[in-house]
Amino acid sequence: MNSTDPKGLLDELARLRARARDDRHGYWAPFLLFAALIVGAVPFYLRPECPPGCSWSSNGMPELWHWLHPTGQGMRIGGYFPSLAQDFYWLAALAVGFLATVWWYRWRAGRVGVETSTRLYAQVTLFVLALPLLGVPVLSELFFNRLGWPLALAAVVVAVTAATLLSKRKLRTAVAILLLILVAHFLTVIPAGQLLVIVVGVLGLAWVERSTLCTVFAWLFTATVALVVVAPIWFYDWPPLPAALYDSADLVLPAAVLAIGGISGLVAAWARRKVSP
Amino acid sequence: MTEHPTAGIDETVHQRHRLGILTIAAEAKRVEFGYLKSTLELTAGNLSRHITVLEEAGLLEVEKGYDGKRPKTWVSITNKGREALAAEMAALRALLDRHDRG
Repeated sequence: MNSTDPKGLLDELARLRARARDDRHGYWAPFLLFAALIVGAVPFYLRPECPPGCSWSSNGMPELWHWLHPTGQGMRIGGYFPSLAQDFYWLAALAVGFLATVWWYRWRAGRVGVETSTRLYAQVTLFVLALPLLGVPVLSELFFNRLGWPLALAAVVVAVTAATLLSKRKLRTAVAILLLILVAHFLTVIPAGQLLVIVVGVLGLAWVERSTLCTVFAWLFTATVALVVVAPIWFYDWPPLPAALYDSADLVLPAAVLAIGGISGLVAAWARRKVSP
Repeated sequence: MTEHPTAGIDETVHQRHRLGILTIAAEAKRVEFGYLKSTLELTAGNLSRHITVLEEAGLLEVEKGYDGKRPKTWVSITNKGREALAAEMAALRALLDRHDRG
């Protein structure tokens, strides 16, 4: 650092900040990992062997499935095939993805010398991982089913807002918590709704990484997940495509966006190292 | 009459290497001693002295540990350090504005 005048000093500090930010970027690894984990779910969503006229219903599913999906599950592109194996896969995959991401940032800090905080990522991911397992089933059983959803929803909004303000936090914290509760509810209803956990995690990473490329791909991924969540309602069985493509499209498309984001981040990191070793 | 921007300058923070340390530390959860040394192009002794000054002022926290058998020193900025850095940056920008206005 050589400058002594205010402008030169501010410019040098901006350069230092940008360099530290670039050096700590490591989002490409979680992006690639989650892309692989999403693709790994495809076999659990392929339609089973089915003679003409057969159908699937949640009525015959075990009690655990009903606990995990207290208000049932919606349609998806390839049709409706409720399966506990899907839930088990996602539970394991999301836990592995979460732990690996936290470990990755700590390991990378040891090598690079500058550490990204994963606190916000860990907080939001753990919240949307735990809530669908315990919070949504318990709230549905004890609260929403007995009071009716309009009254129960109003009570939840008031309770969260009051608790947030009493703990002297900002109102936006209450809004964020309510949005996460909504995500946790959708997660139990939407087939492959676990993609929403990854959306929350990826947006959390974009927030802590403060990288333009990471933010762009995080929002592209969010838009793609929103599209595949809405798509079965509007485009069910249209256009006519092979069944396997329908069965995998709502997983492969978001996975492709994350994979391209991860590869782009890796190339950007490699290019930076070439310019300033 | 408005106060001159130099009144907002804190002597502990204003030293440019210390400003550099705080700027980098503010960008991360924690920063390793070796990273600061190479990025700021300082000698170990010089960097160590600046870190001690900032730590004694309550602007930095220092954590010593090991990576395998290699000792490592990690530095993280405190809330007081963030406030001091923000105040210093604001004072520098105000000084620049005043200079530009002539």
